[in-house]
Amino acid sequence: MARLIAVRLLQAIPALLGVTLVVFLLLHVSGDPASILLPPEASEADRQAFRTAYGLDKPLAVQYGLFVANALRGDLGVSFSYHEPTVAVLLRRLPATIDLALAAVALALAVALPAGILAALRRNSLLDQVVMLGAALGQSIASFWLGLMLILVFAVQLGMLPASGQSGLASLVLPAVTLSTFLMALMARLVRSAMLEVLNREYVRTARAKGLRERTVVVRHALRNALIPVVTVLGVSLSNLMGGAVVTETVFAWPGVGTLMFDSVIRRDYPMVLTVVFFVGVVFVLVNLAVDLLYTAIDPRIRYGGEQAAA
Amino acid sequence: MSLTAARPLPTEPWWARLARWPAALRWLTRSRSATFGAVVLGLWAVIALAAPLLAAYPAETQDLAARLTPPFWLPGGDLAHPLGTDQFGRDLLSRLLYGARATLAVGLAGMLVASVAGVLVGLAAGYLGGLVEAVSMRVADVQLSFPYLVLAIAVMALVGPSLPLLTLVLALRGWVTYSRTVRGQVLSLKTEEFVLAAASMGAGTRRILFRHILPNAIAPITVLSSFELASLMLTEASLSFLGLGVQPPTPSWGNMIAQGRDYLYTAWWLTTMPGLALMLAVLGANQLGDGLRDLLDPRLRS
Repeated sequence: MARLIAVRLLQAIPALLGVTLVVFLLLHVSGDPASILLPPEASEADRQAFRTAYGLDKPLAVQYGLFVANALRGDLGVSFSYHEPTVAVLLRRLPATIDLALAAVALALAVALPAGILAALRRNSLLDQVVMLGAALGQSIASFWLGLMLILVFAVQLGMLPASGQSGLASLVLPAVTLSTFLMALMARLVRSAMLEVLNREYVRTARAKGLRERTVVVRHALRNALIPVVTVLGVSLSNLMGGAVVTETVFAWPGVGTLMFDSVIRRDYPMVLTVVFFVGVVFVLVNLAVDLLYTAIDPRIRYGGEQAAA
Repeated sequence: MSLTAARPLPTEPWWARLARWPAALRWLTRSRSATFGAVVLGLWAVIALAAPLLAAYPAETQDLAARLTPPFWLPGGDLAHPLGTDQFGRDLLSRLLYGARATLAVGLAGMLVASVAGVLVGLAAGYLGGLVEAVSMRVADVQLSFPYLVLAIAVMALVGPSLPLLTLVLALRGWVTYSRTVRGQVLSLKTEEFVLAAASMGAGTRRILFRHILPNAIAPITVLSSFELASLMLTEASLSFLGLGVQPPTPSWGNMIAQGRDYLYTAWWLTTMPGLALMLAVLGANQLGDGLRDLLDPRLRS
């Protein structure tokens, strides 16, 4: 197990380097990083001083090395609009996004797990068809539009929930529903098909033949194995969730990293934009690492170095 | 696998291929979702192509006297503007029809670039193996672990929005899935006897890849393309909604929703209608993909 963790950690290094390279390339897309990292009103003398101070007059390879070294120290520049280090601004906005993301994942699983399991157990029933139709719609709806429609119905027409901002639990409901819809639909379909696959296996028949209660068969024997592909997809989906968070937070004026990203784009606060890209990239390499390890905990076949689980 | 069986012989004239289209369409109707998806996408494609003929007004003609007219079934609405007008008095229905152009064209273009790039990388990785495989699959891993939309927003913002860039950014999302799928296909096909036979008769790498392996991988690529189209249309809409995709005054469903947002409280139809159009198109592409998968992979047929 310790060796496996070490291997996974080593495997995350190219991914982390990939993230720094992406941000570095973004910094150079316009040709002159000084024009991206300095406010538009900076004078030519300021720019020249900045280039010398940050080694921007050196060869690209050296610049990349300096960039990685600075990034590792958490120095990713100063925000134009907040006039403080970008990392500090980011950290302030982080809790709101974590709240939203956790609520969305919890909501998606709370609905998708029972829905997917029941749909698989009662295949082709009315319930199954309703779940599948809901999932098809959920995967086809643009989340920002869904958010606006929810505001229209629940905030404007019914006046039940706040349309924007962050003020207590009630204000979390609409953004969380919006953000979770796609994941919920994806998970419901996945749980259903994984359960269908597993329910035909021999060990499930054996469990039934032993006279175990249906509940035990489903939860202990079937679900546990059906969860393996679910965890994998959940890991990959988390990165989509972060992208979705930008759109969702913008619609609901939720004061998280997504809104920060969007506002910084509008204000051309590029150091802030790059910091968000960098940070989010690093976080997701780490999240995927955690998912990999979780995966190993669920599926002993991997831990013992055996065959890969069927995905 | 009927698609691969229907691969034309090299000597076949073009009109003989055309004659097989009805059979292909009949095959499609064996799946309800495939039929639904094909009909919906087909209708949107016709609408996009014929938008100037179908639309009662040009997309950008303003009529300030008729600002924010509601749809015809509401008080104050009339059939001159069946779905009402926006804040500049532009006809919403006409703009929806024109909006289909941007969304479909950008989605299709992104899908095509992604499929060509992804298929080539997948073929190379699967057949050549070694360093090519290691590097390309590692890059794919890194990209999949990266929040795509965040990256797309940053690129569009730093470089500046344009249609070619938008297409490239969308293709960036799609290529990974293609290359992984194609690589898997190549790995399982390259030890098949017909491939070994071709190799032993002296066929070059290019001939083996494009004549013997690729035609047998068309089925999964087709299924994937439907899903890609769906996800790229959603992505285009998201970027356009944020003001980083298709730029006004050119209508796209995404930027129409963004413009309608300011009038959410007074003119709900401005946001509702383009969103419904988008949902229908994406649903069509998703259903087509589901149907094709069922038809092409009998194991999964329910």
